[in-house]
Formats: sequence, C-alpha cells, structure tokens
Amino acid sequence: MSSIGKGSRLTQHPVQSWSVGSFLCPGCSSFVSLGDYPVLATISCPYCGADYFTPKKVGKFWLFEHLGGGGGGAVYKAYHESSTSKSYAVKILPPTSSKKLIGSLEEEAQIMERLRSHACIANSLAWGEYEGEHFIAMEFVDGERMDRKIKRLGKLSEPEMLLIILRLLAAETHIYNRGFLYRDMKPQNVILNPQMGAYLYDFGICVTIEQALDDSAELIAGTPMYFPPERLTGEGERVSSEIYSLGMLFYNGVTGQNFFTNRELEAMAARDTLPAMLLNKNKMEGIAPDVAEVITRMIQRNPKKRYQTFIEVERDVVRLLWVRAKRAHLGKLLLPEPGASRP
Amino acid sequence: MSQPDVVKFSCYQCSQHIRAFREHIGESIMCPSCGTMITVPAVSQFDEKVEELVVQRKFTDEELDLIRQEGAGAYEAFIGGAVSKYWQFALVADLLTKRLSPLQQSVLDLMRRQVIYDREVVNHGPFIKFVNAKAEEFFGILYMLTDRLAGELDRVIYEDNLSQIITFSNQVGVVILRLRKFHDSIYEQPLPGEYPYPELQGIMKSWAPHCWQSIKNVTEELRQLSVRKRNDGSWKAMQMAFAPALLHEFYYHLKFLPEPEPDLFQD
Repeated sequence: MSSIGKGSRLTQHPVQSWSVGSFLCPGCSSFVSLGDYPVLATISCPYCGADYFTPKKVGKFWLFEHLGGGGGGAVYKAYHESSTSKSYAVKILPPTSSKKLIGSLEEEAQIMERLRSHACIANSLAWGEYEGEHFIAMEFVDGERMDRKIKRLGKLSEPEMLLIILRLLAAETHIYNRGFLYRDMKPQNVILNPQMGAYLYDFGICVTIEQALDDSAELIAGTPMYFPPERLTGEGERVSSEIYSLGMLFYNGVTGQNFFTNRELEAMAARDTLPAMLLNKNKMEGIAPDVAEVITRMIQRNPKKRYQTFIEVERDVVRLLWVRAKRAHLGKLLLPEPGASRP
Repeated sequence: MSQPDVVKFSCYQCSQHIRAFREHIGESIMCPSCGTMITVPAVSQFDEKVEELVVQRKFTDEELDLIRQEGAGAYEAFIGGAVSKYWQFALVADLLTKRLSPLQQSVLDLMRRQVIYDREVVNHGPFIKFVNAKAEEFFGILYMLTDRLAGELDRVIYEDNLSQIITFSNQVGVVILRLRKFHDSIYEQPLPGEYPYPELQGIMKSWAPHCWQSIKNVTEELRQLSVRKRNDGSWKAMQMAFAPALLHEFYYHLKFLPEPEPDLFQD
C-alpha cells in the first residue's frame, strides 16, 4: 500500500467514515463496519481488540463521547456533519422518556434560545426531535467542571475565584435582563476553561422572574447546599436569592469545603436551628478578612440583609481585585498551574 | 374619594387616565403614556377610579438655568414642565449620553492605528510595568464606575432633585473621561510583537468599548422606562454588570509574561 493512501486515511475526519457506516480503528487503523454494533457503547475492534466508543447520529450531529448525565438527560460531545472542525455538546433524552421530561427539555431549549449569545454561558445552537429523540445542541466548552477542579486542587486561588465570580455575575445579569432567574448556581454547573474562565450551563430549573417571585410555583428543585433558604420557606425568589447561591459557591471555591455540614442542613430542613448558630465566625477562618466580609454579606439568611443587586456585588469584587492588583505590583496575580504550557 | 383640587381626564389618543392640579387648567401637557400634547380641561371628564396619579412637575428658574447649561435639547423638553416619577429617568439618560460622547468618539475611531514597537526587546521591564499598571488603572476605573452606578444612581433617580442628578452625571462623566484616557494610552504605547503582548493589548483595547456599550445599554433602558405606561414597582427590573468577560483571559496571558530583569540601580 502506498504511503500516500495510508496518510490520507489517518488524517481523515471521523465523521467522514461514520457517514458511510464505518469507523477507523485507532489501534490498527483498519476500517470496521458499524452496522452490527449497538450505538453509544464501548465495543472492541474485531481485528485488534482496541476499545472504541460507537457514535450515534442525532439530527445533524454525530455524538461520540459521553460527557455527563443529570436528571434531565445525558450529554455527549458531538461533531456537526458539515462543520467538523468544531465540537458541540448535545443533550439527549432516551426515546422512552415521559411527556413531562420531554416538556421540560423543550422548555429548557426555549429558555436557552432566549439567552443565546453571551460570552459567559454555553450558548445553544439548535434543538428539536430526531427519530423520536429530543435533543438540544449547544457550544462545547472545553474545560473542567468547577467542583472537580476544587476536588483536584483542594481549593481555588483567591484571584482566580474573584475572576470566576465576575464572569458568573455577568452571566446572571444577562439572564436576569432577558427575564429569567437561573436558580441553580453551584460548582457542578460551572465549567472552567483554563483560558477564558467560567461558563454557566444547565438551565434545567431556570424560570421567569415572575414565576420565581411567585412562591406557590412548584416542587422544590435544586441542591440544598446552594439554594437559598427562601426556596424552602416559600417566600419567593429574586436577585438576592441568586446572590446567596453565588456566595455559597464563592465560599466553596476559596475554602474547598461546603459552608454547611450535612447535619446542619438536616437541622435547617427541620427548622430547629437558630440562624445565629449557623453563621458563626469560625467558618470564615482562613479566608482573607475582606473576602470573608463580602461572602458573609452574600449568604445572610435574611434576604434583606444581603446585597440587593448584582452590581453591588460586582463593585465589591472589583474592589477586592483592585486591592490585590496593587499589592501584586509588578508581580503576577495568578501563577501558572504546574504543568501549564505556553499556548 | 373625590379631590376638589384636581381635574381628571383621559388622553384622546391612548385614553390614558390623567390627573392634574387645577392650577394647570388650560396648560398643555404631554401625555405620560404616548407623548401627545393635551390641554388640561377645566372640568373633570370622570370622577372616580383614576388609574394613576400623574402630577405635573414644575421647575423653578434656578433649575431651568441648570438644565439650560446642559444644552438646548434638554432645556426645550423641560421648559413646559414634566411629568413626575418619569422625568428623572429621561434626564439621567440624556445627561449620561452626553457625558459618554467623548468616550464614544474614542471607541468608534476605527481609523486609529496601533503604535508599533519595532526594535528587538532587550529589557522587558518597562513593558511588564506598563501592562501591570494599566490593569491596575482599569480596576480602579471599573471600581469607581460600579460604585457610582450601584450606589448613587438608585438614590438620585428617586429623589426629586435636579441638581443632584446633574452632580451625579458629572461624577460619572469624570470616570468616563478617565476611561477615555485609559483607552487612548493603550494605543499610544508601543509594545513588543511577541507573545503575550499582542494578546494582552488586544484584550485591553476591548475594555473601554465594553464599558461604553454597557453604559449605553443602561441609558437606553432608562429612556424606555421614562415613557412606560405605569410605574410598575421599581426600575430594579434591570440589572447591571460592567466587568468585561475577557478579564479572565487577560490574566491567563499575563501569567506568561517574561520575568522582569532585576533592577541594577536599586539597592
């Protein structure tokens, strides 16, 4: 076989072989027919035994790598059939999903469409149904989920955390000005791209501002560690509720720990613990005093004692960064992570 | 309950219900809803259940003097009086737009060229210093901007005080001028062509335009609120954020700046 032929085969984009019903085994570079294999499953190559994850076509997208799955469907990395240079993330529901689940996916897709085109969120590109399967296709953000990065490094550096909060504030502001409240702010919903910073995704429990204020809305959804106390008491949610969740995420980032222990959360659900007991000062130990001050004001139990608008938080976070930039005079605010290479 | 000192009538264009004090009978006012000029009638067209209280705001000569200094356009709109609860929004929007214009000229100057540093870099010190100093300067400006708009805007917009509004817009104007100075200085400083200087410079060039766009959005929102039909709660229906999304990327590239040379002339 000529070397030219082999070279072109190796540089071929996977979509080209998938679209003719086969794949190129990365182990032995032989073409294998996809025909008999189940889709979205790990198979072994009949020639060399190497593992291969079989792709699946949904709409115009080829799903080929499992990224994660929540209550509302699984997310796969995907290529578009015609623009193969970019990757996408596609969320799909299994064909046997209940009508309620399909309805909520459609709702999420419509909300994402309204929120489209912001630098700090994962923007949606298309949504619809393909052979009984409902899907949303969105930008693929290359990075690490915030909770995993915190787990890997123990905690995040203070300046990095401040820059993350600024991007999340920009995203929250954008969402609010389009008429929605995000309501699901937690590290699990933030992807950190090493270069661009934080991206917000998963708009599964995002609702309109009016719905959020209406306490009788619906069942309680979200993560108890991060959702505001008013979601339990049914007082209605507004900007200050989002600020509470953001404050909890802030605390989690700079300490690497959750603000409440599980026992405290249970006690709170049973409503037998005094708020004063929960906000003891020991928890702020190890955080710079000026940062602790901002976090404390963000996570007050009483919504009226928190910051009331996003710009008030932004002002104080910018001030913290400014102070640190001055201090780092001629130095560097962020140090490269070990192993980081020049782009 | 009927109030003897007011007349109640509706706009012939949009049938917005309006109340005015009797002293304004015969004067022509602007409908708060659609902007049509209506003459206040001498007799009420109906008695009860007026949807909204709209009182005409009269300005004193001193206040009119203050507006006159702001230019003909603003003055014309105020000489006939304005409708309370709404006029502040329009005025703040007008004044901020005016204060923004120097920055706008600078931001929209597309013919501007970057000064290029075309020699071999021997000492990175001054460049590193420049980039760090500019980042610090921008944070200072951003802090002042967010501080004004987070704290002051809310206060002045609900206080019926014209001179305070003008003072506020002047304070924002000072920040905007500093932002313009910052923007111009980025173009004037030649930086080496090697990584990461062009990237850092490109990001810093986007900061002032971002702030300009954000302030412009605020003025547009205020203008819309000034012509809305009813005062539905508070203007907090809108949220603001000014920090550029590219701040994180800036710090990412900053990490790869070379180490500054030790300064031999320092002890």
